[in-house]
Parts: sequence; structure tokens; C-alpha cells
Amino acid sequence: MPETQAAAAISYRRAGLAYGPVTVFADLELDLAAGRVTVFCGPNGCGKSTALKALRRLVRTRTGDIFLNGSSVSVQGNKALARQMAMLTQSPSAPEDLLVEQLVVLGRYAHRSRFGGLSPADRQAVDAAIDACELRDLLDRRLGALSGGQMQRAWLATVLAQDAPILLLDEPTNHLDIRHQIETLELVRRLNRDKGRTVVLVLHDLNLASRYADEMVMFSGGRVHAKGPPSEVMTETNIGAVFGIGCKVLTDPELGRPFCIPYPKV
Amino acid sequence: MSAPTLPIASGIGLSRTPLRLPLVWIVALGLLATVLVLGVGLGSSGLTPDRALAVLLGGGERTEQIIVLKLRLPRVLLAMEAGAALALAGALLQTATRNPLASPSILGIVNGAALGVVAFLWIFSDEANALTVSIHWQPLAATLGALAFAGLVTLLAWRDGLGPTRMVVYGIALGALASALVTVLMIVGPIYRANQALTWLAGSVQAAHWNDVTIVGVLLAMLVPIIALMPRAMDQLVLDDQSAAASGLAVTPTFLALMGLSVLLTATAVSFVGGVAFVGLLAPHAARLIVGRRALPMLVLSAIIGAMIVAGADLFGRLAFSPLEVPSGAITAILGAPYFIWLLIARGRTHA
Repeated sequence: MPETQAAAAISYRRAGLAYGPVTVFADLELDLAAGRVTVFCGPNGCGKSTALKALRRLVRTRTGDIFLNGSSVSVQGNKALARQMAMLTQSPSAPEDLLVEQLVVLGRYAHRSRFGGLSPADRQAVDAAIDACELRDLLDRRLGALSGGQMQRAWLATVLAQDAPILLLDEPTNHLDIRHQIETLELVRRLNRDKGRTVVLVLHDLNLASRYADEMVMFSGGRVHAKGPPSEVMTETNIGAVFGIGCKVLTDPELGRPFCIPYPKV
Repeated sequence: MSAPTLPIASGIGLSRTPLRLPLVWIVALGLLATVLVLGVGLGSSGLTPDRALAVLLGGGERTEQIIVLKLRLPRVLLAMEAGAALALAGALLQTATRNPLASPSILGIVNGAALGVVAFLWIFSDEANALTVSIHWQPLAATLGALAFAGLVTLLAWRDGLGPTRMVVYGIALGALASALVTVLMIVGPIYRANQALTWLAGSVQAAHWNDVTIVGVLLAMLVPIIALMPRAMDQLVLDDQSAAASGLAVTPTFLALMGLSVLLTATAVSFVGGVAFVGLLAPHAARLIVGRRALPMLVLSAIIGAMIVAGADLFGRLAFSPLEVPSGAITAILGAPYFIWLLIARGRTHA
């Protein structure tokens, strides 16, 4: 979608974000394009997760604003916002005796009225999410009986059932083994490529970020340190400056993406 | 919460509607009707169930009518209303705090109401231990006490972002304060009043009038339609706050609405029948074991079970030590405390 790539779907305008007295961003300026996979990365405490939460309004902007397709996220209704943006939070939780299917249905909240059962559209979205995350065989399973990878898929399906054009994922590969990391991110990429969903995710692993990002945003000390395609952001200078380590950046022989090998600071 | 043994009905499932569900409602309503008929029949001048039923259906002799309609029916109905209100209060509270062990008494509401009543009896008694105002103001005193303490708990917890844990901690602390003040007032106050307060504190429907039944009924009729708006949001609260918010739930307003409703329901019940213990804890818990955690059936069944518990406890308290009457609150506490302890042990085991 070349023409939508230029349009900024999401704009942070002088956004001030803080937890109590601790300022994370004084005035964040950032534009994210529609229809792309954007990865937020940076060291612990750099604010990447805060920036994502603020977009989904789980953290309120103190000053400035964040705009979604031109309208401020701070004034929209809860359900209206949820229909535009779904988010997988960092450590979601639900009771152990909840069944997988029951969890996924909860993703439809923003589309349902106060009363009545699931509409055909609800069923369709739940079905699609269940298939996309390959949960068909686990529908009757209690959450307490799932493995880490299955659990993550169940949560991802819940978020997908919300059927929002924008997907926010806060460290979706946390606690997953290497195979499940790749599978999760392949799924995310398919959702982007096949359904045109805009995806913004926080990833700790720079090499995974480089591999799946159309665009990387590298945060450092409450500022955007670098932003652009992985080939521009994943440089030895950037990584050295932001993480305070030495490193070597090579090119993945299979995928042609940059990857980095970290070394202790010289 | 991990529930032991009993199967949990799958509530939100796409296609499965458990066949045994209609049976649950038939049994529940049947038991409730049985408690009603026995409750108006049995007592110091006993009526057989068929006589009691005949009077309820508009027949019966004059004396039977007086016993059933004037003396016992208001008592049974008030017990049922109060039980339903306390059970609903507990169900809303347990959902709001995501804590299956929460009950209205931990928010300081019940002790606040008790303080209101004892203060009322103390302030409005003259030298001869007679009340200087009508006893009908007592429910208002209880409600004011309940609202004052609920408000105080909310205000204190507000400063720290109104988390469930904070509310519970402040509730326990302020509840202890209220209970200490009650003790002080009972010691320094008139002895006759202390006795009266004691019966009320234990929770009793002994003195029920049709007036009380009507007022509580009207209050419930006002609260129930608001409660009926909550189940969808309550279902969403099985998620953690952030996930629930991300799915579109207005988390803080929902939390405040549930807490507010819980306070009003508790104040309504406690004002008229006193501190009937454990119903708000037991009824929702039992309901969840039977119909699962989905809010709508859980709320309805909680209310039915709560009504059954208090009316049943009143009946038992009337019969067991006849001609003495034991306050129903004492009975629910005697039955409730072991259940609560069993619950704690069972939870401890599943967590280990």
C-alpha cells in the first residue's frame, strides 16, 4: 500500500508523559505511518512501553496530545477507541479456570451492547481470531492448563477478536522460546500483510525487531534517538550510544536485514 | 479463583448451553418457595405447610390469617429482601475487587451502620431510657453511618488511585475504628439501649413490619434496574485492569458504580435487619460454584441463595431454641464461619 505508507496514522504532538513525579517524555514528537509494522526499541526505562500505553490511553498525556487519523485519542469514548486500536498488554491476567473460548469472546466487548448474545459479526471475528492463532483444539482448555506459548496465543486471539485496524503489542515475545517468538512475529507480519493492519510493537530483542520491522523507533532518555528502516537505525553508532555497549552489526545472509552482536563496552 | 470439585458451567461459550441450567433455576425457586411456606407456617403456634399455603393463596381462617399475614409474612419477606440485598452487595463487591473472599463487612460499611444505630440510640435517649424520637428513624441513622464510612474509605483510597486493595485495607481499618466506637458507646450508654443495640448488631428480623418490607422493597426496586446494566461490564472484569481498559471497558467508572451499588445495598439491608454476617460472602460464592462466574446468572442465583439463607436462618433461630429466639445473624455466623474457614483451607491447598 504505497499511498497509505506516507500518511501518518498516529501522531504524538509534544506529548508529555509521566508516572507521578517521574517524567518519561517531556514533549514527544513522533509520526507513525498507517499499514506498517513499527517496532519501538531501546534500553530499559527509555519509555518505549509508556509511549505505546499512552497511544492506547492506558497512560494519560499530561501535556500535548496524541492523534489517531487526525482526532485526539484523549477525547474519544472507551469503546470507540477500542474499535480502532486493540492492545496486548505486557503481563495480561485472567482467572485460571476461564476457558480459552471465554477469554477470546471478551475481546468483543467494544462491539457488543449491554444486553444480548453474540452477533454473527462477533462469532465471525472470534472464529477468525481462533483460526489465526491455531486455537481450535484448545477452546475448552482452562487457561491454567496452557503452556506459555499457548497462553500467549490465547491472549493474542483475544486482542485479534477485537477486530481493530491498529494492533499494539507490548513485548509479545516475552517468556516465549525461540520458536514461539518467531511464530508469534510471523503471525503479526501476516496480519499486517494480509489484512493491512497497522502494527506497533515493543520488542527488547534488537535482532527480532530488525527482522520484522518496516520501521524502527529507538528511544533513549525520553527522546526519539533514531527512527527509520532497520538499515538506518541498526547501526553500531546508534546501538553504542543508546545501550552503552560495543557491538558489531552484520547483515543476515538469508533475509538481508542487519543484525547485531553485542560486546562489552571497550 | 480456582474452585474446588463442583463443575463450573461454561457461561460465555459460543454454542454450548448446559442442559442442567434450567434445572438449577427450578430447584432454586422451589427451595425459596419452600422456605417461604415453612417460614410463615412454623413457629410458636405452628401451621402445617398446606394451611400456610392456603392462607398465602388467599384462604384460611381468621386466626391463621393474622398469624401468617400480620406476624410472619413481613418477617419472612424482610429476611428475604435483606438476604438478597446482602448477597447482591457481596457479588458486586467480589467482582469489583476481584477477590472472592471480599464481603460488605470488610469495607467498614456494616460497622459504620452499627455505629450510626448505636449513636442514634445514645443521642436520642432520655434519662428514663426512653427514646425521644420515633424508632422509625433508626434505619436512617444506619444508612447515614454506612454512607459516612463508605465515603471515608473511598476518599482515603482515592488519593492513591482507588485500587481494590487500598479500599479493602482502609475499609478494615475504619471498620475496626467504628466497631471500637460502638463498644465505647455501649458501655457509656444506657444499659437498656445497649441490649436493644446488641440484638440489632447481631442481625434480626424479629421486629419486622409491613412498613419495613415496603421500604426495603422500594429501595431494591430502584437499585435492581441499575444492577441490571452491569453484567456485561462485570464479565469484562475477569481481565486485569489494563487488558480490560484496552478492550474498551471504562474501568474506574465501572469500579465506582459496583462499589457504590454495593454500599447502597448493604446500607439498605443493614439499616433494617442489622449486621447479618457472612451472607454477602457465602451466597455469591455458592452461586459461582453452581452457575459459573458469568455475572448475570451469578447475580440472580446469589440473590435467591441470599434470600434463602437469611429467611432459613431466621426460621431455624425461631425453632431450634423455642421459645427463645436466636437472631438470624447469629445463625448465619455460626454456619458461615466454618464455611469461610473451609474456603480458606481449600484455597490454600489449591494454591500450594
